[in-house]
Amino acid sequence: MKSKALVVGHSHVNCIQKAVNLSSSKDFEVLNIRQLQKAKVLNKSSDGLVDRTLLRNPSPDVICISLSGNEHNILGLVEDPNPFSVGDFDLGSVPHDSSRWLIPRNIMLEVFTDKLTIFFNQAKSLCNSFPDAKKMYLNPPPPISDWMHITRHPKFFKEVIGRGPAPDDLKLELYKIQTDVLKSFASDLGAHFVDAPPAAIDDRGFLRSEFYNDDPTHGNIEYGKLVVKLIEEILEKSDASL
Amino acid sequence: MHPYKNLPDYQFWKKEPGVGDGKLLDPVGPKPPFLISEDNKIVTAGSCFAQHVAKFLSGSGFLHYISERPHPVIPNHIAMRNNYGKFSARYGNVYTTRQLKQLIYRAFGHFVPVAQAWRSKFDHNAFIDPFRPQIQPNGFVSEAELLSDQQQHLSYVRDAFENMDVFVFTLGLTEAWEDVSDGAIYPIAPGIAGGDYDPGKVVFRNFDVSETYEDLRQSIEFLRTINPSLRIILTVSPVPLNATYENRHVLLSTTWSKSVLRIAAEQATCNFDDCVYFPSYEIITSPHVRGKYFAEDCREVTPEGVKHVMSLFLKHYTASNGALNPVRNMEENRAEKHSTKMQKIVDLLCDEELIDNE
Repeated sequence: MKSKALVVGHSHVNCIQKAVNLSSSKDFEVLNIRQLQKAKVLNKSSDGLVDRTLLRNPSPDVICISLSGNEHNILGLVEDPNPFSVGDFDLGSVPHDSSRWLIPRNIMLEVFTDKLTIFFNQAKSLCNSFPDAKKMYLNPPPPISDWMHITRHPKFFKEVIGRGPAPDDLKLELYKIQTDVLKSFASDLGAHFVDAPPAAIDDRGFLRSEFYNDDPTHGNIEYGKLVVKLIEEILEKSDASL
Repeated sequence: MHPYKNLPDYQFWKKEPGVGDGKLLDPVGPKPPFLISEDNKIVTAGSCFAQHVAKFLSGSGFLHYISERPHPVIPNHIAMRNNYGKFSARYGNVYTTRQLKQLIYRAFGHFVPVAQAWRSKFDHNAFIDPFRPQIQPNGFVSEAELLSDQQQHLSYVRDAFENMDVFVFTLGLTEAWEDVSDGAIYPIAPGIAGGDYDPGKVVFRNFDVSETYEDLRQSIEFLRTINPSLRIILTVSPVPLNATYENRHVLLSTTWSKSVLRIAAEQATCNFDDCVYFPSYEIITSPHVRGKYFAEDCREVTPEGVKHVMSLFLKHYTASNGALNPVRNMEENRAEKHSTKMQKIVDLLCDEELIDNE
């Protein structure tokens, strides 16, 4: 019998939902927290965020969490008015450009931790709602480097597109730092950290173009399919690893 | 007729109103040769007590000139934890006049110490700056990053020293640790926050009056060459030594140290124009206040003590009674708006994603 998975999160779960809808899979149930807020099915009780009686699978075998995750894009999609770099292990700073305002890496780590802690607390509540389920934490997709794509589909970023792109190496570094913070959260939650599917990442570390959604930050349905497949593979490979 | 006749009241102990009520003690005077205006850029440096001075200046509308600001994406509480804004640049505590001279010389490329980075004692993967070992609680991720940050930091130090109108320096200690290879002075001994203590590589120094004054003199002369109209206010920290390496009671070392610092400061005020001494040390330690300005540990200065000191600073060194307007950098405001705008855009996009999904 296949495991029942509940995927909960914010906008980065939408591509997973589309993929699940397309496959008509009954093994996956996907909830967007914003959707829950809108439908008023958030459980405000102390033990968690989701009212499990409203779920198709009220006792999922695994809960996959992907909350927020666009913080790296907030800081690095477009060039900041005060162009900055972050501390780097080998070069000293990335980009390696002394005219940029260096933010030491550990301080940037604190910035991301600060921004993401609210979501860590939500994730803890979600885990409390499903104490018997195995836990996974899904890393959001890596940044998009293709500025043409971003300018063609700027969506709400239209008003800041004029700032031009932040340097590619900065985008990647911010994503890495965010990933480090999320990995640490996953570890604290006792959750298996699921990185972005390798097939969706190009040789530099960016999201491959075939997985772009029609906006500057999200993955598309094809990306969602890869994530579903990855979750299934992890579940099949070893229950003991979770 | 005698020589004391008609001298001002402040020259007589019994005429000091603070004898009856310590809160009235006012040993500042005679009239200082300059006043600080609200657009004067004030740079602060020194020991722990200097942090109180800096904090007060920042909070009271003075233009406490912060050249090394946190990038606007760093929230205030994180910036404070990482020692942004405590002084004009992130140099941490500058305890001795030798350390002050060294900071100035390093900033302007006149001295490049051999020691560059130490391994942190608290996290073996982290590196700390030997010359500001506690500036970043989590340290730096690599020696390369530390050196990049150090380079940036020293450029801000240059900026501060070149552009300041008033320099408030609080002399704190005479004891220090010296690297035998090049004479570099460490604010705290290697082995405490990082690095390794090797008696063959560092020696204990306790600078006497002539050494302390000579370093102060050279510092002032250098600063005046790059900033000729600079006005200087010297103070001595009233905070006793936390520990002494001399084989004697720490109280005796405290007295020795503060005496040396006080004399060196006095010599500087005698030998340089527009260089004055502000009696923070005397206000806090005077018999008039009967020890009330020291906290229970007999070392830290209480908020009341700081308030007394700084209210006299305002009274005597400003024309505006402290009614100054906080100054904020317009560029910083713009950047804060950018960060908030980006957050709103991402929220909107995520909402739209939801709509798209329904």
